[in-house]
Amino acid sequence: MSKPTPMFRSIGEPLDVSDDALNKVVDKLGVPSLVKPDSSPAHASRPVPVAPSALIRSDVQEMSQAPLLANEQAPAALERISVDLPTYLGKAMRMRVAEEGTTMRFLVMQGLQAIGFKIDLRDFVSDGRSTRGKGR
Amino acid sequence: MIITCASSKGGVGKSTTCACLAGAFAHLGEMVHIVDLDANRTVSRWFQDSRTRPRAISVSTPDPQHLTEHLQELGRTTAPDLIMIDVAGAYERALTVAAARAHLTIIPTTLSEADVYEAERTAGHIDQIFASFGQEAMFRLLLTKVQPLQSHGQRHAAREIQRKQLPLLKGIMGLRAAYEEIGLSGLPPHYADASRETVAKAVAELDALRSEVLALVKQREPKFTALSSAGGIR
Repeated sequence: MSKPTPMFRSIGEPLDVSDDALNKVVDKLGVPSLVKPDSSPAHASRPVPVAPSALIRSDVQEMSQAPLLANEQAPAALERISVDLPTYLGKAMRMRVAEEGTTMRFLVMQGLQAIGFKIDLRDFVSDGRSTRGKGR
Repeated sequence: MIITCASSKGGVGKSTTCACLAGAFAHLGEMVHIVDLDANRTVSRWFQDSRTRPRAISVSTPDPQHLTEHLQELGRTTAPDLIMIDVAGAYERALTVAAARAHLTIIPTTLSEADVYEAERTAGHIDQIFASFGQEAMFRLLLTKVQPLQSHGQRHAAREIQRKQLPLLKGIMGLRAAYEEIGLSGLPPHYADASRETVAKAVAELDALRSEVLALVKQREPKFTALSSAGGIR
């Protein structure tokens, strides 16, 4: 008599496997890790990047009146890059931006940073809407 | 027992769910520990004032890279009855590990296309991780911020969840002031002013949710058969 084959995958405890085994699967699936912001002294005094909508009136006034630090550099020059994305993704991105009150640019940069791209903090805060307005 | 609140999307109510369920279990006298893995530190900020924080609830903010060791340490030292893990709203490694270590992963979602899309993605990911080790994942979607009068879009999202056969908790969390106020008062509904209608309704929702969660875990884990809504969850 042959040994019966289990019909279902076993339902057991939470995965009792080592972190190493888990990491192998995670790597295989290409799951990214969130990277902690640099907390070195050079960055410690700088403001934490926030979505433009998170700023309140007093913050804006304070920031506009505060002189730039001597070693503070202006934001990097901008380059326009356009990409074609699936419609559903574009829709999901627009909805996320609307829900979180942020910008497409901020959303894209967050994603790029999450997978390891280095983005200067000074470039993270910028809100493209204000620069467009000034150019007119 | 370990319950993880996870979604690859932010703003779906993970921290609120975590704080509310922690309050619901703590109100029964259980020792609840919340592991806050979200870099925004939402839950730990809500419970940072020890004067208002329910005594049975404690919070830690370990490095997500060392979650497994942290859970082992908790088991060896304070050994809480329930550990709730709140992860960041992103598709990332910590979500994977937190779900892998949990008896149940709750995936909160509102009835919107974006949230349901991400909930499905999260569920698929957890399923894939467990399947890699020949096990079946235990997760449930939880509808949050449910409005009493649903729009056409919300009804469509609900139908989509049904069509995709995503496992859903029967209990829901409505759009209630009692939930939104946790951030202001640091008090989950079970510890807020019960004479207010919004609090009473939230407590009723959470009691139902707590019972359902316990029944689920009992069904899966024979060693939890001693659990009851009035008993311990060790």
